[in-house]
Amino acid sequence: MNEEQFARKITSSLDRGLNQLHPDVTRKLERARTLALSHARHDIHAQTVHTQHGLSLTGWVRQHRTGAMVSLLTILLLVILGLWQNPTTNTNDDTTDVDAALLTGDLPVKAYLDNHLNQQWSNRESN
Amino acid sequence: MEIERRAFRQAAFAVRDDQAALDIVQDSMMKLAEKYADSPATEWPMLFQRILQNTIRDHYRRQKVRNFWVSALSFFSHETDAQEDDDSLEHVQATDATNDPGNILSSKKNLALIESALKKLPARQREAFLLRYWEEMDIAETAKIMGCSEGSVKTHCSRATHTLATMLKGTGIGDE
Repeated sequence: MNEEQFARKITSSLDRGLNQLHPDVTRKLERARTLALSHARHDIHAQTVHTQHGLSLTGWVRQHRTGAMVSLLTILLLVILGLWQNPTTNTNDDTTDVDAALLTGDLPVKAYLDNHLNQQWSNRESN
Repeated sequence: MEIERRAFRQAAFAVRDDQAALDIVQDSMMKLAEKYADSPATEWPMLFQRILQNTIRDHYRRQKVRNFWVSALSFFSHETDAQEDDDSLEHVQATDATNDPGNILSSKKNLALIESALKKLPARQREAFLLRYWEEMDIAETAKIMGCSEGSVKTHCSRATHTLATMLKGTGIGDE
């Protein structure tokens, strides 16, 4: 018996064994097949609809998953950078104002010695 | 219906767990439907086999990672040890029940012997043997599915056949 014949004998035994599968397993396999086929039909239908009415956003995302992911990450990065930059700029502006006030001599000398006075002066200025 | 039954047996030989094998076949069928629904139907068997083999490999990888963490965490938790012991015991009992030759007919006995021998084969040899002879793929298709050269497929098939012949020697299967 050569290699091929021996292999055929083995596989024919395996084929016979397929009928001895547990009915529960067979039922589950059948259900999985039906589910996959209905999924395939739904996919084909969805693709046809998309081609007929132009490319929808979901269709584009499905077809260009990597591109969509990169775009999303870039937007996220820009938002984070924006949020990070904004408070820093505001703080710098405040510091510049205080420095300018100090240099122009608007603050009384006591302001350098008394912390509360600085606050009071700021409140008065705002009123 | 034959295709998914064969796929189920292939997965079961590889992962030795019927429930995991069912999940693998179902996943493979869903992936085929999702990604290749618009491909010609003639290409489906090969595409399905490729997806199936990849899903089996993914299962091995996940199991490897899971085993690593289980063994790593077992240093810290005695409960995990107990749980693992229980699982192993269940697995052994289930395997014993399915392979019990005491009350099965001769053909069933032969089938059990063949299945047991197939399970003992190295994964790549079993994959090549089953694709080539059971799924009746040609050497080029088998090589494509396995992601290796045609020469490797021939070698794997030849080694698988010889190992099976050695393991089944004296059982009456392929003795003549």
